[in-house]
Amino acid sequence: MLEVQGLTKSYGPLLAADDVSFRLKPGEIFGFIGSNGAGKTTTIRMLATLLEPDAGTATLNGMDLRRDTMAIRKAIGYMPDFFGLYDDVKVWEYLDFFATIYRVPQRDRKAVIGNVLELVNLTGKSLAMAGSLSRGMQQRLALARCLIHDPTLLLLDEPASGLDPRARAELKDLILELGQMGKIVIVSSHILPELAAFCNSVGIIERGRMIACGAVEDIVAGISQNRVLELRFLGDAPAASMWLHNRENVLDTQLTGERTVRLDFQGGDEEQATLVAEIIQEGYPLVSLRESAVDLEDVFLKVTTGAVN
Amino acid sequence: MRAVTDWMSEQWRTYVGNAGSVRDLRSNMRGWNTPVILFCYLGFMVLAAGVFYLGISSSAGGKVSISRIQADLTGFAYMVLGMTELLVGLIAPALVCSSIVGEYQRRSIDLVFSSPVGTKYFLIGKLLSSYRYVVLLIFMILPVLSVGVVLGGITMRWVAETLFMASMHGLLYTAVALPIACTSAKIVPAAAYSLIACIAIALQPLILMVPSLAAGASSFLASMTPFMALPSQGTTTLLFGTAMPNWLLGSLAILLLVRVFTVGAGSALSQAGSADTMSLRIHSLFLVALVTVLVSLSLGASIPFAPSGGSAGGASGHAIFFFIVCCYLYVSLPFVSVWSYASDRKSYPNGLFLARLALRGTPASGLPFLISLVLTATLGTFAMRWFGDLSTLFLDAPYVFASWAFVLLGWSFGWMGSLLGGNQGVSGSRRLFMAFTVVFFTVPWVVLGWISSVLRDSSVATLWNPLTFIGSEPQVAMAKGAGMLLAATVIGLFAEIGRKSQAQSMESRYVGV
Repeated sequence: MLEVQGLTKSYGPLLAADDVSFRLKPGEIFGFIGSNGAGKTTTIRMLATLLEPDAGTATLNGMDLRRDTMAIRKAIGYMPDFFGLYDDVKVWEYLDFFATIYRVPQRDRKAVIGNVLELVNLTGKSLAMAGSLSRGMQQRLALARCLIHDPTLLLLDEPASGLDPRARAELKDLILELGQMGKIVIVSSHILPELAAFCNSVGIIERGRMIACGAVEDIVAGISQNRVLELRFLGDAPAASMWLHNRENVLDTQLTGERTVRLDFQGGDEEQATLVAEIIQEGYPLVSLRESAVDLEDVFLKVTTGAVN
Repeated sequence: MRAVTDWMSEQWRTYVGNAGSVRDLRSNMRGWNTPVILFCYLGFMVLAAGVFYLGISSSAGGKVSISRIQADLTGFAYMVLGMTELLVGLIAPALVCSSIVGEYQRRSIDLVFSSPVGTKYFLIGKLLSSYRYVVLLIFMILPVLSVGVVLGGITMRWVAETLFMASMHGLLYTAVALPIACTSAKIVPAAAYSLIACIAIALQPLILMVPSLAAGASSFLASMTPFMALPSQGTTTLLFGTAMPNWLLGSLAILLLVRVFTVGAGSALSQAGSADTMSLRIHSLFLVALVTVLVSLSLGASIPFAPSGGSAGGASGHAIFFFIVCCYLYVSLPFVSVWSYASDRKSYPNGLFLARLALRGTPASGLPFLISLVLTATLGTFAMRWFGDLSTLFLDAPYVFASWAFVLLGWSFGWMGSLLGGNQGVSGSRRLFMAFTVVFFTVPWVVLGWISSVLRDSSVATLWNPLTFIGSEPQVAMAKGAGMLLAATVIGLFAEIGRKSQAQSMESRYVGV
């Protein structure tokens, strides 16, 4: 169990993380979302013990971030948004180095290295130089490094950046597998649709503050109390848009094309049916009506203002 | 019992089974570069030996007495060792710098520090990997020296003692580069600064030895510098009535210095406010106390103590030593006294003087920590003399005061340099600190020296340089100290006013956006 309580970090007058709190249970995959400079990396670096928080703390299975730093380090696997590989060593040597500093017993090291290489599908590359691997393979090697000591908590900062679609898909599968293994995974990313595909919960951070946090469905449900409807007309969509704008239950309208109108609608199925009847009664040539599903990206755009520190 | 075994296993892990040193050595030895370099090095040594042999045989028409050969072989051994020391001085800091700065550049340092290792483990790994390489270089000259042992001229003991001291010098040069590498962003400048620091550290025992040599006594300090290591062979220093070999005392002093530099490097690496930083700062204070007490004791033991009218004007050996300690502390100022909004965020200024933060490592802790260090050094150097004649202590007071003022002036340069150059990060602040130091201490001195040579009046040359106080009369030292303290106060105040104004501007820019 990871409990983050009021983590705060400022750099001079700049408040990079402001009272960040959340709680994650084993097997949970947590998507950490925010604009550049929102405070994601600062929070992750604090959890990785690379930054000393000004206030607040976190506990991982009862171990305190500040008091039990070395024990926490043994229990986390941190993958930053860069690989930081040593180019001049072989893949197995790289993993052996980290296995040694993570105090993996010498008798088990060979087997452990073999296992993590198999997990990230790099078995055939153990004798290759780390610098000669492709970007996708380097990224998988970095992930293997994170897993070498069987951590409880994985901190993955922008793990998918710069990867091709296939590598991203493989990464997604791998993260899901890690979640199934009971690890707590925190993933920060800008690619929101992908995060939605494998995260159980998300936290949205802006200007250092956690502005929304919880299960993906709960957050989406919270935001999508209003329905988003897309209406296509045969013609004169602007006039229809103006008329719709003044209707009851319609919160906002937006002309998205010559013939299409997007509107925020507050109400249930009955109100929606009434609205459709009224449109037709008014003589607007309605061709189709589609209810847009609210996704993580909509939620993000809705709850954030775009302000950065 | 458990704690002891844990401690021992931790030491074993750090010093013997250090994964970082294995990895670095593996990288250093990989590929063709290292064998080629070592082959060229050995080839050069053999070539030098051949040229030397030809020189001997041709000069005497092929008939040379064995005593002549033995004398020449001793000279040859000196030459080979000199070349090796030079090579070690060049290679050791470069290896450390490329290794540590390389970690910064590829950002792998974050990966290491998110694993369960501390700064000590990391730095010892870097130290040992370079040291192993240096030892390899030193011991490669064994075949060349063996000729001297076989034919006479040098003894096995001489070779063993000399190679051991050469390896200790290599260890010292490696350690000197550690703090510099930990605060540099580029390999070449780091290596260049380290080389300068190595030269300075090789020269400083010579300065400190002046009173000792003037008194006709040997000093362990000689074994600490390659310039004097060979003549110091077989000499001893009388400590508490026991003749201790100088190579042993020199090695112990080097190990202490290595510890000081490692702690300095650790402080540069650790996070502001972390337990690591506090522990390292406490270590620094302890080490400064230990070094000053030990050297102070040995100074008293090895030379007839001269409280005034010593070899360097009015200052005693202890005062000269204290001044040298202050020079060392001055070198640490670019890391203790600078701040910047545009750099690593632990350098953000959080005040001028916050004594309660002295051990935390932020800019506001710079001045209190510095004062703690200088105070510790003062007590360490002079405390033991309280048991002797107190009146001699007061004779050194003006020099101690001037040394304090010198360090505080340096601190004010750092604070002002941060105000003017901080927008380029702490490296900009440090560059300005260096510029102020050079301009204040060197340029007027050079200019006045030139003027005095034109006017043929030597008194003009000594008008400016405040650092000549150490060789001056007590009143002059007092006056120069007062001048430096005044300058430090004025510069420090201006810089602080500027910093506050800059802080207000930053507040209005960020807060409430």
